[in-house]
Amino acid sequence: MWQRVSIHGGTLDILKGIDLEIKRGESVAIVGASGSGKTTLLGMLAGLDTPSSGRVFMAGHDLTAMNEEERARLRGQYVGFIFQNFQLLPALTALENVMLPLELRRDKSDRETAMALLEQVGLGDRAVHYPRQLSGGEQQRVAIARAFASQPPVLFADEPTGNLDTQTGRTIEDLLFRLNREYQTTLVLVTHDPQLASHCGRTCVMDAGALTSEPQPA
Amino acid sequence: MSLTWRMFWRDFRGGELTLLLVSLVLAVTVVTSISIFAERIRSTILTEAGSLLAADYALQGSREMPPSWFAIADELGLEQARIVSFSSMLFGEGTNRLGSVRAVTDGYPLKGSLQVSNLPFGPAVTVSQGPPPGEIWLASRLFPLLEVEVGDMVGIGATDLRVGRVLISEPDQAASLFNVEPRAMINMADLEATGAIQPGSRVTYRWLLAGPNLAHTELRNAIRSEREPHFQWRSARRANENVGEALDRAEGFLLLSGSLAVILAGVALAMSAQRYAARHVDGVALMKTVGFTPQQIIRLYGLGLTALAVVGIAAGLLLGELTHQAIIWLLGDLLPSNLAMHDWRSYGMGALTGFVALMGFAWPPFYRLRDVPPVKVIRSEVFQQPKLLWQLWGALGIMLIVLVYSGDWQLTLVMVAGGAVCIWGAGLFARGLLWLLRRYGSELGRNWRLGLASLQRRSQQNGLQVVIFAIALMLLFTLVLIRTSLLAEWQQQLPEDAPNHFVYNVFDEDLDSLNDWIDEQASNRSPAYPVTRGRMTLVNDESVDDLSRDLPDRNNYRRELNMTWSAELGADNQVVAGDWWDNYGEGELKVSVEEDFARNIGIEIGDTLYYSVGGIEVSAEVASLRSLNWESFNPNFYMIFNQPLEAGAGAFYLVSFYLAPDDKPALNDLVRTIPTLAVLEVDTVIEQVQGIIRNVTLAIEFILVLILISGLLVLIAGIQSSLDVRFRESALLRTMGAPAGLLRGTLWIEFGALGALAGLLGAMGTEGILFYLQGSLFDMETRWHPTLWLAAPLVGGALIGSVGVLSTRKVIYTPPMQVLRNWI
Repeated sequence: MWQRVSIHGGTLDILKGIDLEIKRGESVAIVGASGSGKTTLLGMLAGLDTPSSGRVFMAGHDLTAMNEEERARLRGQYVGFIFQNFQLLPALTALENVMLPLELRRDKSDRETAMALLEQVGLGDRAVHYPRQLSGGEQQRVAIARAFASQPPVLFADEPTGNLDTQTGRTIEDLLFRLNREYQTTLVLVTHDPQLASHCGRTCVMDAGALTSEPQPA
Repeated sequence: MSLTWRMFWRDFRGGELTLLLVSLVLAVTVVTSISIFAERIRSTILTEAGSLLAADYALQGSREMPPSWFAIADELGLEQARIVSFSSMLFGEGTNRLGSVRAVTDGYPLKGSLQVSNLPFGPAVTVSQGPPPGEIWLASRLFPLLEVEVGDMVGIGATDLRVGRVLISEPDQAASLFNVEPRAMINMADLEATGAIQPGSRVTYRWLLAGPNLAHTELRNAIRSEREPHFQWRSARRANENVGEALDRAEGFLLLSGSLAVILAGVALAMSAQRYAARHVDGVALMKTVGFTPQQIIRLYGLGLTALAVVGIAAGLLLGELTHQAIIWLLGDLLPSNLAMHDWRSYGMGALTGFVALMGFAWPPFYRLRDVPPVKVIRSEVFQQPKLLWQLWGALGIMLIVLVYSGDWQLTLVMVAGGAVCIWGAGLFARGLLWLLRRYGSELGRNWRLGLASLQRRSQQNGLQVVIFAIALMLLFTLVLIRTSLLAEWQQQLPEDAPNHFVYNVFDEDLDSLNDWIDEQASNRSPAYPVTRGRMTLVNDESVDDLSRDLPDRNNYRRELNMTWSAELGADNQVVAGDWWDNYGEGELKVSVEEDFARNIGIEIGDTLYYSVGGIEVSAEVASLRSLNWESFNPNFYMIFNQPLEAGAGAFYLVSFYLAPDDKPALNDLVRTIPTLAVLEVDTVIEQVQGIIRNVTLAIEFILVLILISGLLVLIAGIQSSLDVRFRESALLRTMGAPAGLLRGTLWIEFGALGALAGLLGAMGTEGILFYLQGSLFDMETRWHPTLWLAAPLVGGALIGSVGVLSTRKVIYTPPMQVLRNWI
């Protein structure tokens, strides 16, 4: 898979010849220096973007052959996200934020499911609080609850602990992997935290847009 | 310095400044083009009204004006012409006939034009001057009476003049509707030779003037001390009552529309400025961390704003001129060919609007950037944009512009106060409604839930938007309704087949042949009213002379009145006090009096009025007071009696009817059949009035379109200001797999509901404004508009829904990768 962009008339390869297969139930960490193309790769894998050449498959579907509309539907079905900066909607309560993906799926029992998840991440008593009333760690826990709410087969996480202090980061880490085991989700996470990466089944190292080593099982 | 330009240039290239600049340019464009167009239409209308007097102002009296006055007017640079009117016997081929003669100077008419023909009742051509010396022009009906043709000689007093043309119409004939004798016109140079004016003759002198208002005022002041009471000033505006009223209303409307355009443009500017400033908060915080002082920040943005002002205002002025030219070109033949020129004030108005709007609306959020805390760089905390203070500041700016624009304190205060009450009151109300929607709307389907959630999510911002949309819709509804009722009222005044001819001086023996002729040739006739002339002398035991002593138009009460008697009440008459008689022709002599006439001179039901009719004294008891529509062009009378006046035995009949232009030559036959008959042709007057109304209508419709554009701009600016948040949310929903159809449906519901709410609020505001406007500004009957309450939410929902979805359609396709990148 290649991703090439043109800047000032020249071209720049952001991803160079990536060849990566992730199996169902696997947990994979993508690590590398800033600017090495980690996040770009994550975006490609999740179908948020498409490569300029090469193909990406998810659950047997060729993402590169789909238009954005079809990819969106596929994401709704298969994918959950956790972002570095949480990305909660400020005008919705914690509970409503968790309900959002369920609403998209027309899930009738969305309120109960969401509430149960909030309990699971330890925020049952903060359900009616707004994001601005929550700490960073709490916000990320809400985001994790949201990511698992629709029980997606694949979960993508982009620096999930990047904006948090070490201790809170560890709590989030534990929560993430605990739920991951519980729901048997395929997990792809981007990080430059070796400790977080070490929780994953395997680690891919990115360097200047290329995968430099096919990592070993931990 | 260079940093400023670099920053603004990049913002401009990156589209950051586009909306702000577009709003500014549009504000200036709209105000400039409305201002130019309104000014031109206004002066054109005034010119046309002037043509009804053949001048801007006229001084009229029964004596000759001293020549020293003419010299003063000359010095003041005023155009002048003079008319001397008198009655004289005209001698044709063996017959003679009394005519109403006007001797005019070469300048006549100063405004408007004369219509003449080469055949009696023939096709008219327009000329700009009266007859040359040696010629006499005669009204059509004099030709059969005098048995002459164009080219023959006609005697007038001691001289003979050659018949040069047929006089079809004079611009100022409306001023003398009831002239019994047919008109003849000669040059002032021939007046002396006729010897027709002798001491004691009844002569009217009229001095016509045209030129700037200021010069008129100076002239009036200069001759005030010498002016004897029997000289009376007349102005174009008052020359014809129904046109005067149309003018007042049209001016009020243009003024109102212009002010509304200013407000709308200001709101659009405010919203885009706030968005721009909000997007710069982070940048400013960063600049502060590297050592920029608040002073430097202000200077930086101040300079940028100044540059924006210069570019925006210049572009707006240019576009305003071009828009106005384009409209003139597009309207082409619809506009009068002699459209008055506009002056530089219109451009000044546009530039001032741009400047004040920018300072009032765009500067506060820019200025507030000074206070951005540098800590914002590392801790994302909410930075509050200025609220109350800038609203006050903006309101002041608006007030200033509206005041300059309207020159009317009362209108300004009402509009600004009304606006403020609307914003705060309706803001609360709107948030309440939003809350209710969210509360009960969640029972509905998924799209509804998401759409309404999205409304509620931005409830504060949406509350403000609902109010702004509501105001925009309110202004639009107000204009549409005012326009509709103004037009309806005008058209009602003068329907297509309004009676355009009056015939009178018809006596009993000729009535049958007149009726036959009307049945054959004309339509929409009035009954034949018997008319006699008489003077009212006493009300009970007080003389009319005494009663009218302090009235400005006392001659109206002392002169000879047309009086009639009738069993039926005229169609446009209404009894407002007392009773109409049902036993016509029996009992005591009773009279029904026109209400204004009665009120002014103090006549009440039961009073006894004394008249002198043909030298015989008659007395009658007042049985009723009537209101009547003077603008209807139907025969109307101050005094109607309940039985024929014996003293008025010599009465003649008066009939009005509609005669199509092509049938006019038939009047020749009528005049030949009934030689005494006099015809009053008001068709040209009616055409003039209808022409003026057409122009006013056109101006109003054009301005409505411009207001609509400004209203849409406000909508778009309002929606744009929420785009950033929408992009983020939409992208997030996309990452979660929301299909485009869902997002689109959600947007429709959100904007549709927003529009419907705004429509409802707008309807409330419209009723309030109309209540005030109809009552005081336009002097119309106030009434409620139930259909508005139904239509407004629908129109609001459809309009704002479609504009909202159209201008946010990009949001639906936000690449979800941007969420990951944290770009938005």
